[in-house]
Amino acid sequence: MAGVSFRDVKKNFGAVKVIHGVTMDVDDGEFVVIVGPSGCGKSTLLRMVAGLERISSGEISIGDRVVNDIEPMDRDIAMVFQNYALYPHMSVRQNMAYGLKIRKMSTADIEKRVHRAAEILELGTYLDRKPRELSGGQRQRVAMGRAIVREPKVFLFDEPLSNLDAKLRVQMRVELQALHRRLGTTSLYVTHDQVEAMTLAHRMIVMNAGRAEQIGAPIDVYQKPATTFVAGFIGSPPMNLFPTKVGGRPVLLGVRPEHLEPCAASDADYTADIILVEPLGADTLAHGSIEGTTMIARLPAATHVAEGKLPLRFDPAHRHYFEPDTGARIEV
Amino acid sequence: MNLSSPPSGMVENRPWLTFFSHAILVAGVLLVAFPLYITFVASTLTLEQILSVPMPLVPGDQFWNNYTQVITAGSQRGAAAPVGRMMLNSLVVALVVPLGKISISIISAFAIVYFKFPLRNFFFWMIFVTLMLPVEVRIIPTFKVAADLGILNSYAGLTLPLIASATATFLFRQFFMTIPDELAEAARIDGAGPMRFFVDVLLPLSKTSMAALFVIQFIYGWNQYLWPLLITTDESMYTTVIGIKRMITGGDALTEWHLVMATAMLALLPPALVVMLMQKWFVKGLVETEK
Ligand SMILES: Nc1ncnc2c1ncn2[C@@H]1O[C@H](COP(=O)(O)OP(=O)(O)OP(=O)(O)O)[C@@H](O)[C@H]1O
Ligand SMILES: [Mg+2]
Repeated sequence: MAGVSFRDVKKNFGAVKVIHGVTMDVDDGEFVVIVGPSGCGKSTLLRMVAGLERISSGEISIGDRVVNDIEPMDRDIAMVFQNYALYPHMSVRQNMAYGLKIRKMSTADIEKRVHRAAEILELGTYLDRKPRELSGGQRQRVAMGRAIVREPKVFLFDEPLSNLDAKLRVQMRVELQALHRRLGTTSLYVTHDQVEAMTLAHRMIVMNAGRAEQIGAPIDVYQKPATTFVAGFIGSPPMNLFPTKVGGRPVLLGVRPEHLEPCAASDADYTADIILVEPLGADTLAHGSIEGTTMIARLPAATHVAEGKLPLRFDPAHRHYFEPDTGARIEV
Repeated sequence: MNLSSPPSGMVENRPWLTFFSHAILVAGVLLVAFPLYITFVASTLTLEQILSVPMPLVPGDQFWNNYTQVITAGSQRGAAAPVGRMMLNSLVVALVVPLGKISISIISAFAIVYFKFPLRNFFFWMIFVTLMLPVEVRIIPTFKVAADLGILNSYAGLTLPLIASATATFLFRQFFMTIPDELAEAARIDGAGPMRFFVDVLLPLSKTSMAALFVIQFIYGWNQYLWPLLITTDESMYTTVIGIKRMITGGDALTEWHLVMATAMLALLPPALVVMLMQKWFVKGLVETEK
């Protein structure tokens, strides 16, 4: 077991800078999710830990060993790819055993590990099938099995669930959590799905254009987003941002859709022009604008709202202020 | 194929149409099969019977005589080498050419797709350009080189120039490019070095492509005419196809047609066998890739 630490890690492909310096420590046994929009460098960061991509500058260590110049197989990691990357001509058993065979582990030990992994993942009856004879979810499990049998210090996942349908994704998410509780292996998990990030992560790294905008526990990130980018990316629908002034200084006021509530006109902080009401069953989304800024309010399902003027107020405990130019959070 | 029940909607059930399409098919089969049949019949007759007009259209009783003579002794008037020896030569060419081609081209495709080295693209294009230079085009310089190397009248001379070709390299390159990068990365994490990845992953995945190439190249090698004709002057190095040519001495009366026909029948057998035995693999290689 070991943690992973990043020391000012940068990456460029030729002249293109992709990662602009990430520093953080992943603790032993921690489950850290790297989340961000497409193209922000999540995969690149993960692949540098795996050793599939060279580190342009800075240092990555696994345990207390700097791994910059260590081959992937010697880094004591295992990786699960989005497209599974199973060997198509090998059976499930051979797929899982391949890495161990190369390490010259004895056949008996290999068998033991493969069986244990198959048992954990409920793959027992599929051991002699080829990957193409399996469903997407089963292939995903085999890919995890291949990672588990290695008994690595760190698991690396690159969007492992994004090829599955919505229902299976939820199920696999739960299984992943159970698996992590059982094995307790340090894990780095890349996703662009914020629900996966919120539910799986002990801590998450919110990335934007090659920078770690915020690192923290999901609930802290949600409650105290460090920038307007994080405020917009974590939480759905995104946080509303209204230009306003505090003590004569221009700022952006952030209020999450769920923290707006309808009220009597006399108590209202704002009056919204609602142009669209979407009843979702569990709650209702009201889209519109306030003083020319588009906004969304998430209202309890029972509230009856119609298009037109809607007086709203918000709980002052749930407001956020940001610098209009840099987007950085201001504590008032 | 089930011709009696065509997909509904495409061809209606009209008896004369069924009759007509069958008639055309039968005519086609006859057109191809009849010369083969004549060849076979002629190979079982005596020379006098063949030269008589009309030639008999039913097999004669010389089957055993003709074939044993051809295999062990050859024609006495044309080239006198036994066809058995020629068949062996042809077989060597037809096996060495595809095996050599496949091994060289799969290795070079592997290098081009999976390794970064200086001038990689330049080398790829060099290989690609040779596609435009089949044996026939470069035959004079190739002959000169073979002569200087002293490999005339040898298996090396018969096979080496035919092995050098880009088609197969190109095919394997295209195939490797369709294999997802993650597979190579997964193998790297599993600890497989490049050669191990090649042997354990790429080779098994290329099995069907290799089989298809083998069939095509076996026939290509077996049927070579121009190059063996140039490079072999020694009868013991003749291939079967050359043997047939040398047996035909010129005047009709001088040629032992019954032996020529028996040799032709023998020359037909190995390619037909290879196609039949490898049919399943061959078709698989053409239509499906296992990824
Ligand atoms: N081999 C490469 N050469 C050049 N640029 C690259 C290379 N690999 C990635 N990039 C660039 O680096 C940036 C980050 O890519 P990366 O794959 O890490 O994004 P990502 O966050 O994983 O996105 P996604 O969610 O779409 O997978 C992208 O702008 C991409 O174009
Ligand atoms: Mg990615």
